[in-house]
Parts: sequence; structure tokens; C-alpha cells
Amino acid sequence: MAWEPSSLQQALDDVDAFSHVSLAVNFLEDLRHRLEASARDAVTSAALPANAGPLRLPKRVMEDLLACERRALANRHTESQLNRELVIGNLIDDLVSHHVLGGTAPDRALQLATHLVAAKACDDEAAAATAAWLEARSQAEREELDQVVSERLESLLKGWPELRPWNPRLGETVSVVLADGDVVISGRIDVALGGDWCERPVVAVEVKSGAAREEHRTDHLLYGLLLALRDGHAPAAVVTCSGADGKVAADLVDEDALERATRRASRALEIAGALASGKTPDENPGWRCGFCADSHRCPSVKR
Amino acid sequence: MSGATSPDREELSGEATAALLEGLRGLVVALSEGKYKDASDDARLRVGDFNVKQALTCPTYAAQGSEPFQPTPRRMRRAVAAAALRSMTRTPDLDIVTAVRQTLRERSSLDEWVAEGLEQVGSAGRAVVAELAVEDIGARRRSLPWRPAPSDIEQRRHWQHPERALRLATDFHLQDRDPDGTTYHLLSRSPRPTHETAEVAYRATVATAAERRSPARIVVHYPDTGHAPRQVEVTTELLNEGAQVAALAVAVGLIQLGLRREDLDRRPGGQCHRCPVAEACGPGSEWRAGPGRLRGGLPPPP
Repeated sequence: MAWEPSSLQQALDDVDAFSHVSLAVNFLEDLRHRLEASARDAVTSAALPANAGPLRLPKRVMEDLLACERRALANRHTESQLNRELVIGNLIDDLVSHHVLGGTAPDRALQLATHLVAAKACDDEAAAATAAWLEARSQAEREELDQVVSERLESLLKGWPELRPWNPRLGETVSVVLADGDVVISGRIDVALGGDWCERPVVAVEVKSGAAREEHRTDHLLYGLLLALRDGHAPAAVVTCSGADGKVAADLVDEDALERATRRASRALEIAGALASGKTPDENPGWRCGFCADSHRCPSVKR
Repeated sequence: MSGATSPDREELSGEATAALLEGLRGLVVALSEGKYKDASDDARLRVGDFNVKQALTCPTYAAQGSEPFQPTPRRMRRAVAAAALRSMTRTPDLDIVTAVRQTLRERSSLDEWVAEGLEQVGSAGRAVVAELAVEDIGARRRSLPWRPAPSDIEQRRHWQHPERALRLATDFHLQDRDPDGTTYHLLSRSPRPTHETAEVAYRATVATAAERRSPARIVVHYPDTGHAPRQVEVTTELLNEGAQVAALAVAVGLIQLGLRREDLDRRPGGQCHRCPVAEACGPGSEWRAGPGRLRGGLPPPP
């Protein structure tokens, strides 16, 4: 079940009011078996040598594999693929964490975000790359960036309740290990809420600094699947909050949602196995071309 | 050997210490040679869990040097999380965010290096520590008992070589003492890391030598995947393996200090991408040129 609440507050109120979704007996075990079979097929196709390490498939790569195979490979092999939108996304993530932890609202969002990124940079390569990108901007570019980040943050956080009663966790890692450790699917939840320890339903909140598209919602259901497999019971919902327009989208994690997420994950595993074995990647041009490290030489690029 | 009784555990302690001394015999000499020979407790070489992990990953890569210790947010997270969790066990209604914020504000419950480090990193750095600590507490709460005695949370054990120039240390997330002995709990982010047994062996050996009594068991928890915890019984074999692992980490440390020259094992893997000697390393070059170059198993685009 999917719905569009007016705010995160509304989404959480709705989730709290729903009765807990119960899954059929052995439903999750069946999903795990299907993923396990897909993972073993992928490993067999890939025929990686023993010391090559596991097929590591973070959620971002799973999305790329399904959206455009060429992009999935290109972005996996480029050290720095930062552009303005990705940097805005990183900054917004840090500012949201700061907000959830009770930090005061900044006068200048970019200034605070720059400090947060700099503090992370000493032991976080991605933050160091973001810091370097910011360093290279002109004063005019920074001012424009400050305005955009401030506007999106304000739009995003409008209607966010005090989250402390929900025991928020930031950047919670969740993964499923398959095929005797040869395949690892993982995700990092922007804000995880609830759980037994605060007697509230588990909700995964995904923050999009830009506009949330329909396909993002489908992608985010992977969090529901990973959480369900980790915890042995499904979370209540996955909520997507968008900074570009302030919209909130919520998806109840029921059997139908878990089934869809499993089908997509199995398909992504199949593609990963084929690519690892040397298959020429398909190209699927679209809006993601703007975020692709190979766009400068891809014959199918959509400009 | 499982279910060791108390006298057995004391016996195992003697074995662990003997194995450590034997494994380290040739190595400690290097630390005591030359100008360095003082009687202070300040060991010249300190080996901890991180050094062990590095040495097991690839000794040659690990021996390329280590940067001077800096109290970064990632390094301080665990201490802050443990202190906040102690507050939460004392005050059950305390929520996770408030507990971390209080810990960062008061800092009285933190080790000196952490308190000083938090001052050094400024308010933005403290905000990052808070974010990381909140995640750390979440992982502990998913796996470990919820209301342990505050004094059982986060345990460090260290063993100093009789020559005093070397100190081995290990950290556990939680201890659980009962008449059967001490159970140490550890969190691991992945259920099948290549060197998990070797790392646990090192921890068991140091804890045994430090306490003069072997632990009842070490339990490894997997908060990210939800796998069933792995219980490792402490046996003579495990303690001997731990002594060998300690010797490897000490050998790496001696090379870092410039006190020893030795060709160590080369174990190609992801670190080859960052290794300063990868070009001149046969297994590393082969790994980078072969399927091992793949990032997460996927090939580069055509």
C-alpha cells in the first residue's frame, strides 16, 4: 500500500495508527531462498577466482544495474564522480543528521554543511572528495549553492516532528549475505526510526535532496526487504522525503512490497553475474545520464 | 575443548602466556636493543585490534607505515557510544539522542584522550561524532543485552611483556561474568570476514594473559545482517593461534618503527589499490591485472 501523507509527521501518525502487517508463515524464508538461488546463479556465472572477494552490491549499485548496466559499471570504476547535484545530496544528508540530533537551524546552511564535511573528511574518503569539490567553487557559485541548499533543507524538514521519541539512528547499515559470503547486498538508511526499544513500529526514512520519482520509491523498498531479512520481521513502512518539492511518499512494507523488492533484487543479481562474466553492458539512456561517469563517451547518452 | 572448568582456565592462562612469550621472543629483542632500554611503563610498541586486522589483511601493506594517531570522529565514536549507553542503562527513559548529547556536553565519563579530542575537533566534529555514536548504539542494542551493568560495557584488556617495551591490547563491546567464567561479546559488521577466527584468537590470548584466566567464551554478534551469533570456545589451539597472530602484528610494528627488515607475506586484495608498493609486488600486480581488479566483483566498462 502506498500513500502520500502531507508531512513526515503525518506519515508517522498514519503508520502508528495502522495495525501491524503480519506476514504469512515462512514468507520471509521463501524470499531468502529465492535470493539465495539468484545469488548462487550470479556467482556461478561470474566465475570469480577465490581471492577476488565477494560481489558487493550496495543499494546504489543495485539501482544502477536495473536502470542502466553501462552506468552501473562506469560509476563503480570512477574514483570521483561528483557533480553539483550529488554534492547537494551529500550536504543535505549531513544537515538532516545535524537536525535530527537536535542541532540548531543554521543561518547559512552551506557554511555549516561545509564544516560538517570537513570534520568527516579526515577519515571518510567520500567526505574528503566533497570537501575538495566545495573548495574549488568560486564565491558566486558558493552563494548560489547556499541558497539552493537552504531552500531544499527548509522544504525537506517542513513537517518533521521531534524524532527523539522514535530513537532515531542515522546511517544504519543493513545487509544480507548470500551464497556463503560470495554476495553481499547492503543499504544505508538515512534515518531509521522505532523498534522494540521504544515500542514503536520500525520506519526507514530516505532523504532525497532533489525530486523523488516513482522509481525511487520502488528502489527504496529494498530497505524494507533488507530490514525484514535482518530482523526476521518486516518494518512498518519506508518513507521518502523530497527536498526539491517537500513531498512525502510512504509505502507500507507488506507482502506485495517485499515480493516486488525481491523480484528486483533477483533481477539485479542476474545482471551482476552476467556483467561479471564479461557480458557487454546494455545502455539505457535517460535522466540518469546526467549522473553517469561514462556520459562523455557513451554513444547512447541522452543530453 | 569446550566447557573448561575454573582450574582449567587458569592452566590455559599459563599456556597462553608461555605461547606469547615464545612467539615474541625473537621480536622483543629488537625493541630492547640500542638506545632504548628504559624501565618506564610506557611501551615503545603498542599493538591493538586495528593493528592486528591490518597485519592479517596484508602484512606487507600494513608494514608500509602508519600515520600518527589522531583523535578523529570515527576513532572517538566507540568511546562516546559506550559512555552514552552506560547512561542509558542507568536511566532507562533516556533516549539515544539525549544520551549522546549529554555525553558530549559533560565529557566527565570519557577517557582523557577522547575528551581532549572532542575539544580539538570543534563543534562540527562533535556533531559528526554524535552521528556515528548514535549509529554505534543502534548496532549494540540490536545485538547485545539491553540492560547490562554499566561497568560491563566496553572492556579493554592489555598485557605487557616482561621487558616492558611491548604492550598488547584488545577491546570488547561487553563482558558478562557468571560462575562459569567471563563471556566477552564483540560486534562484527560482516559474518564471514576472512580473518575473523584469527582476530578472535588474538583477543582471547591477550585477555587470557591479562586476566591470568581464560574467558569462558567469546561471542561474535552481527548487528548488520542479523545472523545468529557465533560462539567461540577458548581452547589451547585458539590461544596458540592468537600468539602467532600477535607475533605477526608485532613483526609488522617493528618494521614500521624501522627496527626490523623482513619480507612479510603478501596477501592481495582491495588494499592493493592504495598500496605504495603494489607496482613492485608480484601477487599485487597480478591481482590488479586480473579479476581481482574488479570493484565489488564488477568489471570496468568497455
